[in-house]
Amino acid sequence: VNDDEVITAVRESFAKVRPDIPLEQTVRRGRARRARHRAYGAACAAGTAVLAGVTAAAVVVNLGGAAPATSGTSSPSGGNSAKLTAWTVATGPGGTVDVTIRQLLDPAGLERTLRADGIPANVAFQSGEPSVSPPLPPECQQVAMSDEANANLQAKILPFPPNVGKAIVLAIRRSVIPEGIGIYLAVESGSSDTGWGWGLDLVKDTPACTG
Amino acid sequence: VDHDAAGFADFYNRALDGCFRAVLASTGDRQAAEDLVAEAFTRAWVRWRKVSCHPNPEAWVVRTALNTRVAWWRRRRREVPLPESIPDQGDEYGLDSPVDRTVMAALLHLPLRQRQVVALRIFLDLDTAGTAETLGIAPGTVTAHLARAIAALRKEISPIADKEPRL
Repeated sequence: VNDDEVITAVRESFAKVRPDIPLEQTVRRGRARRARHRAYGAACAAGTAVLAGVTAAAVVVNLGGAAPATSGTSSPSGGNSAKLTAWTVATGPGGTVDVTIRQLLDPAGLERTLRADGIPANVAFQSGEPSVSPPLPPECQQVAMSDEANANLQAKILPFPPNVGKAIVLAIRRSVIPEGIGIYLAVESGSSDTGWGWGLDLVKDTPACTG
Repeated sequence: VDHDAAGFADFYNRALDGCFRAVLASTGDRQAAEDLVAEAFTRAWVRWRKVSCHPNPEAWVVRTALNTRVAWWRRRRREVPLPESIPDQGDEYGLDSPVDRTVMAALLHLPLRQRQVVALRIFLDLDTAGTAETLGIAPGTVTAHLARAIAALRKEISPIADKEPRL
């Protein structure tokens, strides 16, 4: 097998692989981002907090469509689980905490429930795409470790879940979160009508950030 | 504006598959590759007047995707498509045959930089200078990485080729 044959073998192995990224979706995301940049620039020039207001107003998004929107009030269902129509938290075997989010409602309630289940957490629901979500809240600080160690630890704490369509389903492994480390979980409404997203950061476990 | 839109659409249709394959070969994660390429093309659309003048817009997209991956390492992200838009993705890489999966596994055994060099050379047809510029490394380093990568791939791919029926 010579060099050209190796290159041909690799090239042909990928010949049928195609992404599912429609042009229209890319253009729509681009337009939304350009508009947001303009809005941000205008808000800065005016010295106002217009953007923050727009973000706060846009946060309530029904992800599932089927689950009815109620309030963010928790209604414990007994045992070590708590349920809301917007989201559900249930502790499973082996220290796994399963979080199902159907609506972006009551992040503070979700945050309290996770903390009660032993996960030092800071939770935010916000509009926009994962790739352009705001930086960490000021009360939280990144942990000090290499990018690779950080990525590996995140993968242990929260493996990428399968796509289930009607909700965001996350399985957080409480037992592998080291002492002194917490999580910042941001759930975003996503790009227009194509989906939603979430982001995870490892942060220092401090009273101000993770309770 | 129409001219720009048509130009971007032409570029998108021409470059999407190659850019995606290069990023997939570099990351080994189909979903991550789709997220990164979607993000890179979105940024290309926003800056199209500038990107369209780049000597190699495909290389710009791939470099942007790979740089974005580094930035995302510290913030795990996943954009979840609505159910009707979830494609049938086959296996975890979206590859069909065991041979293809062996090639993917062989790629993933390479050090990251060697994998990136291979991906740019094979899927974007970049020459040594273009690969070096895209990755921000010296041309001599590209040559060395490519030689080592091809040698390593040959060891893993040769047994497969030997088993294939000969006409």
